[in-house]
Amino acid sequence: MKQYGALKALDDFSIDIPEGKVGILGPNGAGKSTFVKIALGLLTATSGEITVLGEKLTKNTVDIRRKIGYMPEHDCIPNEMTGVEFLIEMGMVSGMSLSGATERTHEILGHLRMGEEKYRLISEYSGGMRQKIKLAQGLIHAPEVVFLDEPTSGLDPNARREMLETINGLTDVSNTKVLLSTHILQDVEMVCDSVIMVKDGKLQMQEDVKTIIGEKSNFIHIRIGGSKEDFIAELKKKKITAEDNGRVLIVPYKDDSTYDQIIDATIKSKCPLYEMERTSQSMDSVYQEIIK
Amino acid sequence: MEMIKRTLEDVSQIPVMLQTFAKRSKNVFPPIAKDSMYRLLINKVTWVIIAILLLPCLLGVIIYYQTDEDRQIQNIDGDKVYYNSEGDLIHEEKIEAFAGQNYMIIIIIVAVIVAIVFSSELINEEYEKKTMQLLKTTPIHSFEILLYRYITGVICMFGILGLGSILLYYTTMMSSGLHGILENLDVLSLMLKVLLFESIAFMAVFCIFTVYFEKPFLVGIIYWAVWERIVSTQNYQKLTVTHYLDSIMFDSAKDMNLGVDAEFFNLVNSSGDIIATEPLNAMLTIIIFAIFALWFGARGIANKQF
Amino acid sequence: MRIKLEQVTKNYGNVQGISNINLDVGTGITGILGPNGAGKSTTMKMILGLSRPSRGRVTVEGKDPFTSQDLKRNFGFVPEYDCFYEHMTGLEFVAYFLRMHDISKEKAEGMARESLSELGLELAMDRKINTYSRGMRQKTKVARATVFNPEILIMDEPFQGADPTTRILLMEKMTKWAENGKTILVSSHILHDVQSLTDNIALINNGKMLAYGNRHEIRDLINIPRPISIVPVKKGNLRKLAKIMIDKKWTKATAIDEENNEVTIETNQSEEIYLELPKILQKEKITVEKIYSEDDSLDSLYSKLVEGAQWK
Repeated sequence: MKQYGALKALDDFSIDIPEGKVGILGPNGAGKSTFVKIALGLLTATSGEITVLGEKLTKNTVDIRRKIGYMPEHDCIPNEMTGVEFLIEMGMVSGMSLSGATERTHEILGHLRMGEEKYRLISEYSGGMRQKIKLAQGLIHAPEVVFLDEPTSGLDPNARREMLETINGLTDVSNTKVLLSTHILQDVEMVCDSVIMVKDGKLQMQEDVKTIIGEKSNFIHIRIGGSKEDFIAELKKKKITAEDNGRVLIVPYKDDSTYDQIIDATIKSKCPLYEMERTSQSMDSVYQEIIK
Repeated sequence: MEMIKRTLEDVSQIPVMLQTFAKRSKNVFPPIAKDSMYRLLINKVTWVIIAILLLPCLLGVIIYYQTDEDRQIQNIDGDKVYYNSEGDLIHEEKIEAFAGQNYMIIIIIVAVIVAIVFSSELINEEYEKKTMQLLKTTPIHSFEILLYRYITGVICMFGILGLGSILLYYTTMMSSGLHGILENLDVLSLMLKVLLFESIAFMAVFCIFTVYFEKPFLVGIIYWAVWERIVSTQNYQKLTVTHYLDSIMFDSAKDMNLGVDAEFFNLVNSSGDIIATEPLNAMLTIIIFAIFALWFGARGIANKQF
Repeated sequence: MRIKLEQVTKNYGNVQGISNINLDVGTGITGILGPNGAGKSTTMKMILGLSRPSRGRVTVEGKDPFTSQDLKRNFGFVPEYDCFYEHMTGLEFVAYFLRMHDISKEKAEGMARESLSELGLELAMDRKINTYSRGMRQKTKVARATVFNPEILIMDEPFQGADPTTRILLMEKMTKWAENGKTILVSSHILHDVQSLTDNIALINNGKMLAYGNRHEIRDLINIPRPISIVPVKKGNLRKLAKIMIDKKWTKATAIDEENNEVTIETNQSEEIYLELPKILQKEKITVEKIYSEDDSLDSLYSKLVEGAQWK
């Protein structure tokens, strides 16, 4: 538990963070950052106990911090250094030798697919490159767990995809555990193995991502060309009501024969069938249900 | 040709525009005035300036207590008139100190700084914070954006400097008693008059600078040092604000027998002729100049691209 | 309201702005997409009259937004960056701009209060803006831009930094405004959001308009084979389906993905397939639970256009 004056940031918050890549979701002020700061040892809990990687946090803060990497959300990198200089310095701060830090820096930047840019001044970097340097800084001391706070914020679609691929690759290469806090639910869908949802300082849900998005809904979305009216009329003959939301038609799913009836209706109405899919639950809908 | 045509069109629009401005001023002016005033008052520099203005006042109080015992009193027609140890009238001695260059120069330099700080807080800050972009997507005209900020700036500037000089006048004249204070009120009112026109003129100048230049502070200081300090003493001084302010001062000072001449105010050309402007004309010139400056500044805002 | 850009070019010194952009959008939501620095914000600023084209013409309802003061009554602008009077409360901030629209004090405050409450800022609106979180700031910007019911809403990255709750709320609102006949231009880096908001997009890269219009129509204009994937209900039908498809003249390539239980064919004649496929399925009595094309996602369209556009 953590209390700021009268404000309770985390309330009776017990969690056992699973292995792999874990997404942390929740509205602003839900207690996500407090949780993370406590786990990093930047704040101490008002009451309760935290064990990180099998060690009690209160005792071995320094030791534990060696095992944790942190990529903060805000910009916190010096502009007047080159990427390589900055990372080597960060490596030496965490106790590496100059040659060790240099080697490690180039290794990481290689993984992050930073080319010659790494010898340029950070002030000349694009948003995506700055994010990469921030990520590299969190990884320099080869931590066992790395915490990423909004790693894709402000990135354009390509830079964002590259960042997500990098995070995915990270665990393949080094087995580092990843805690990912984000506002973009699709990031979690794309990267994480499991997800934690936090609201009002309480844990609301902890679940496998595959389980969540694998769950099917009872609606089929259809997109057709030709005359929508004819198609809807054909469906009506089969006692199926289709709802038009302007972009797709939504048909209730009864059983697998519904598919055949849709196919039949498209043939009879001479409409080309572009898309037909029984929708599954998305992170969006789960999030809405839990957080509301 | 195109430009002349457009200017003519602009001019023909003026009456209609003024009507619209007047109609909506009751909704547009109060919030701008309130916010501008608030921003000026929470600005740290404003308080530094106030502190600077209070320093000579403090000095006046200290001198008052130090020379208190040396005073001699004489009762004339029920008024207490104070003399110093040498038998001179204290209020005459003091008013010379007040009107003399030492205090004046403080007020004038401070006034320029106030004008630069205020205009850049009111306009440049809006560019920096990008709120100007929001304002430009609202239906108000750029002239309104500038005008109401300018008016508030002038009021605040005149208010602070005016109160400062009243306080300074009081603390300086304190040792000459009530008689001395009342005797020289005309000097104070001259001071206030000059400050008012100074506020009107300099706020307008610096509003233009903040609209057109990235570093208004630097440009402002250079302008003042070169134009208002050097050019204002030369043959082309009629192009400077200082000339008109000096003319107002010179005219009143003549009447008050303060023992100053045109040379003191640099109101002479290289062949030694007095080239002071009539005070009424000087005031009118300043007001017309301010209106022109606002129009010019508003065009700058209107044509600014983001 | 109709927004038109004709051959618009804008240079900022030697910095690239936009070049020869054409755009024509009407009511409803249009998503403006493109990499950072592609010219999205510049385009929006031209429409808002904050900037003037070096060449070409920008009109909103036939008028030039740079000079027409009247037009601005109808502009709601949500900028990408923070631009607040930090010392004001949210309520004061929104009301301040309402008064610039010549609205009386009482009315402005009432309207601001209502708009802020609708966006879920009931509790925060009497607090100073400098205490706001990013989500609250975003909502305040939107409240300011929409409170006077403008016809045109220009939103530059409105979801940036907003938590999912805020994002969902904003999207619901935008959909409602669009239904009420407003013209909304929105830029976002999160393609998923744009995809769930609208099918109308404008894609800008390197200052050039790559395409605008309905994204499915845009996809059809690109002359590269389209993958179509079919997922049969019964796994046993997978190979049978693949075999049928490979014999058809319009199939360029066929692939079977056992793990996901799907057959993917590549074709240049997708319209024909879309018509013929149901008939084939019915004839062969194969029930399928999913027919889709990877290319129908905005993600795929975006990368095809933006990455392929390097030399165009």
